[in-house]
Amino acid sequence: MELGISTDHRPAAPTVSPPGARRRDGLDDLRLSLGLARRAAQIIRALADVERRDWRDAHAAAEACIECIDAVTQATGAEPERRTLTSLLRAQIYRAQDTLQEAAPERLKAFGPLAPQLRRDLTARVELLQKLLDALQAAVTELPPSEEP
Amino acid sequence: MSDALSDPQQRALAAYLAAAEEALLVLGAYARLALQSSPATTPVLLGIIRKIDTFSATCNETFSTYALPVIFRDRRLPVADELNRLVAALENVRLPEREPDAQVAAAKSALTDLRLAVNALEHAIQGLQPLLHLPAEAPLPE
Repeated sequence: MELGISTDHRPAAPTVSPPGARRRDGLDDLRLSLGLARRAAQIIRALADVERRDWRDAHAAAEACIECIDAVTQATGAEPERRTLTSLLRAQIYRAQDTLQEAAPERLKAFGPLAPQLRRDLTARVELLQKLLDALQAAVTELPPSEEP
Repeated sequence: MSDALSDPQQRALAAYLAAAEEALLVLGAYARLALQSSPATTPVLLGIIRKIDTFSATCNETFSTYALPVIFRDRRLPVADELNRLVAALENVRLPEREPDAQVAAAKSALTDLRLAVNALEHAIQGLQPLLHLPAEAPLPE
């Protein structure tokens, strides 16, 4: 029976690297680092509440970081790596689901007993929040595949 | 058996709900960024943002009903998380080898500027006052 396993144990012939291949590892690392850094700066900028003076400073500082990351990109030719938007959104939903599970009455019992009515009320609330997360997850699947902004 | 939450239960519930809400706060920030660059997906993104608002409103109600300590609900926490990610990413930056000298010099200069900018961001974030309630986001387009 043909299993598709090669029985040829001779050393493979050395591969010929295309021009520039030696730089590829360094550039890939740089692209990844710049991508992660740019995304973090973008999120800080988006989260900053510009109605407040101290938060305006954080917003401006995050904006300056993004400009500097773009300058590094220009100087090195390493475009920041981007992940798909849906994978980023899903990761956040998983984070929320994980922590919401901890809020369930069965887990809270570890901190002391719960009266039956209180347990029922809390169960209903956590279930409602869980349903909202499920709806969010469903909405995220409606998004076409695209790169993060 | 008491029909109210004990203090440790209140703190635990508050911490978990706030952490879930923070995760969605970041999700909302991504969705808002995407709104600016992908108009084709606007209806879905608006739906996502509104669902996050509903989640947040339900959390608010729970905080109020069970008198949960609001000290956990601090927008600085996700911002500090992101800053840590930014700094960690920057620490891993390596310049590609074998660039022409002028290009290496330009890249080093740009990286120095970036490190200074990140220091300024760290300083700005350290100076942030706590936000006990998650503030309303900017109005959404109709």
